[in-house]
Amino acid sequence: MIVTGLEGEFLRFTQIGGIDDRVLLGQLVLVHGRRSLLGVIASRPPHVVLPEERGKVIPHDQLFVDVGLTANELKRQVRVGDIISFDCEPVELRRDLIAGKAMDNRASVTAMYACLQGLIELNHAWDVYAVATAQEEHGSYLGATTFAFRLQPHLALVVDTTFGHMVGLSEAETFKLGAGPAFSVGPNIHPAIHRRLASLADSLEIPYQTEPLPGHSGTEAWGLQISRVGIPTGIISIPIRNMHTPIEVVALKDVTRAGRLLAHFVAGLEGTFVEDMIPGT
Amino acid sequence: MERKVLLEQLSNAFGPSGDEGEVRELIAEAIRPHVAELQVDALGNVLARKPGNGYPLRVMLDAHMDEVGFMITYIEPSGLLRFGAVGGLDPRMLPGKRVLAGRSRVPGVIGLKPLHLATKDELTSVTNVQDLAIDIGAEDGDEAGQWVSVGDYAVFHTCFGQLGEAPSDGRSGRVKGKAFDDRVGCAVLVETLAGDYQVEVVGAFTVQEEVGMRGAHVAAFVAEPDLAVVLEGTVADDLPGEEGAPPSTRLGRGPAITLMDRSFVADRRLVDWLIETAEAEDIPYQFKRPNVGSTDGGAVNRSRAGVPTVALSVPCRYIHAPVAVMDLSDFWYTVELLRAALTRLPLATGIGDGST
Repeated sequence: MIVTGLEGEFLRFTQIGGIDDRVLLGQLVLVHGRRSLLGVIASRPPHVVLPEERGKVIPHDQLFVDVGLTANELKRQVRVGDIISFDCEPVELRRDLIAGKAMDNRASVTAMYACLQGLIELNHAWDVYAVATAQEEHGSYLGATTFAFRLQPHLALVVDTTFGHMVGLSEAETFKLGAGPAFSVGPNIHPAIHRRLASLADSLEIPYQTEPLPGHSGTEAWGLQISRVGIPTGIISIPIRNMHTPIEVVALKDVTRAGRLLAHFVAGLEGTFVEDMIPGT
Repeated sequence: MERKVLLEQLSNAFGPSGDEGEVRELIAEAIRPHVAELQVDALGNVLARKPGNGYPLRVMLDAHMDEVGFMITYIEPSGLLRFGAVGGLDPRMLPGKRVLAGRSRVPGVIGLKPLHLATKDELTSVTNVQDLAIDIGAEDGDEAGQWVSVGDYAVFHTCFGQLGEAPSDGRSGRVKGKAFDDRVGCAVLVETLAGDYQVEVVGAFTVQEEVGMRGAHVAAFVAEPDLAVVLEGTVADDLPGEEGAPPSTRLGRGPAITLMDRSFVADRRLVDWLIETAEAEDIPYQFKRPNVGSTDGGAVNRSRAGVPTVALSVPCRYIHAPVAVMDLSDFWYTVELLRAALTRLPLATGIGDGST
């Protein structure tokens, strides 16, 4: 979120990326002003809200943030354009589930870190770049596509999150938490990469799920695949619940499985892997 | 600083209507050195007596211990917990929030379908309570049942804390936390019981206000007071842009005196007593906008043959939400005003002096 105005003791704001208006009331936030300020997304209590308004979700541009400062002090500390983030420590649920903000996509960054740790112990013929990209949520995939242009990789794997099984969603459109990462198939994914991921998971005895994506994958793979002369691209997704809320839930073992699998994928790449998979090279 | 510590403990304590035990224990420990008699009644109200100096005037000070919350009504085979609202829980506040559930205080979250997969109607309409569920991460209903039983309660998982920089005096600045309605009233009452007064004071820490002032009804009957002051954390609705109606109360403007709310009309003699005290002592005060909310005053006021009653409140933003905000100076001034007002009794109100 980003500050769009100051009104008395309160701040106006708008979204960066896809904020879910339904979860905003009563959330704790940090306003990154001249110093970091703890705040609350303000609401009118039910006692004074008209009955016909009680059933409506209030759009974020009609809400306020309250950081508990006087109007004058607020002017000194906060300017239009300052960033606002959710303020919440992750909380451990039962089993090895964790609930918190930004699991989409810090869970995947963590998996990438686990991959690099795994590669310390493994020999790998290929150079590997772990890229934690900027601005995916803005929708342009700017960070991924500009870096791909510069790096010119022979192959790309995108690690992202997908919809976990949860209240309100059918099993047909979701993936079970704790049942392993999902490997995508579809036009955005090179079939040889999917085949390799699946056979590798079988040999490592890592459970996995299959995510059919008939069109746009909704991930950076969509931008990467058409970089320069084209990049063979694969997608590994970690199932999470409550996507784009401050209580995204992820299973830690899915994260470590994704990391282990990535490391073995890289280490297992023979020198001719890309040549073999692309006819005409 | 003591006040802030007590308020912090009270705010963080688990105590929805019908399950106030944790709050009761904190309060009993805090007031025991200051009262002559401490009694817990059949409903769970705490009644604390200070005899005074023999004047035959008994003042009841009331603050409710309970908070709005959740009751687990069904454990799904999937392990999700369905719930009902305890008190005036606001359905707009629930999705995407953290809770603590059951006797083991197991953490959970209230999930909702991701916006990517929701219909436009689902994105713009508030989800009904019966369509929400608490997710504690259980594999299935059997595992969930090891942690939570049907009938267990849950509350918002919110920690008390400072907003902005903490002023060094510990008596001003703004704080955030849950259940300021009415743990701030409980804290005011605890502080007030530490003083000495000529009249008899009965401190009533009541249960079940949020489900219909059940505890106060009984507590007032047992206390049988000559007059009563109800202490509340009340609605501050001072956001910008609400033209037309004045805010219910404003933060930082001192304690709010109730003239009338939806549950009772305050006794004018008691309103004047509080105003005269505030003006004599140079304590800021404000009036709460009439006809907003209900209080234990509604139950106390009509106890037995009737009890002259007034409500004195600390303004709080976002009551009944997962996190509320209040100004510690309002809290401090409320304690100061109440203590000063009590020291002006028995004569200041005209009640109990034979003139009525």
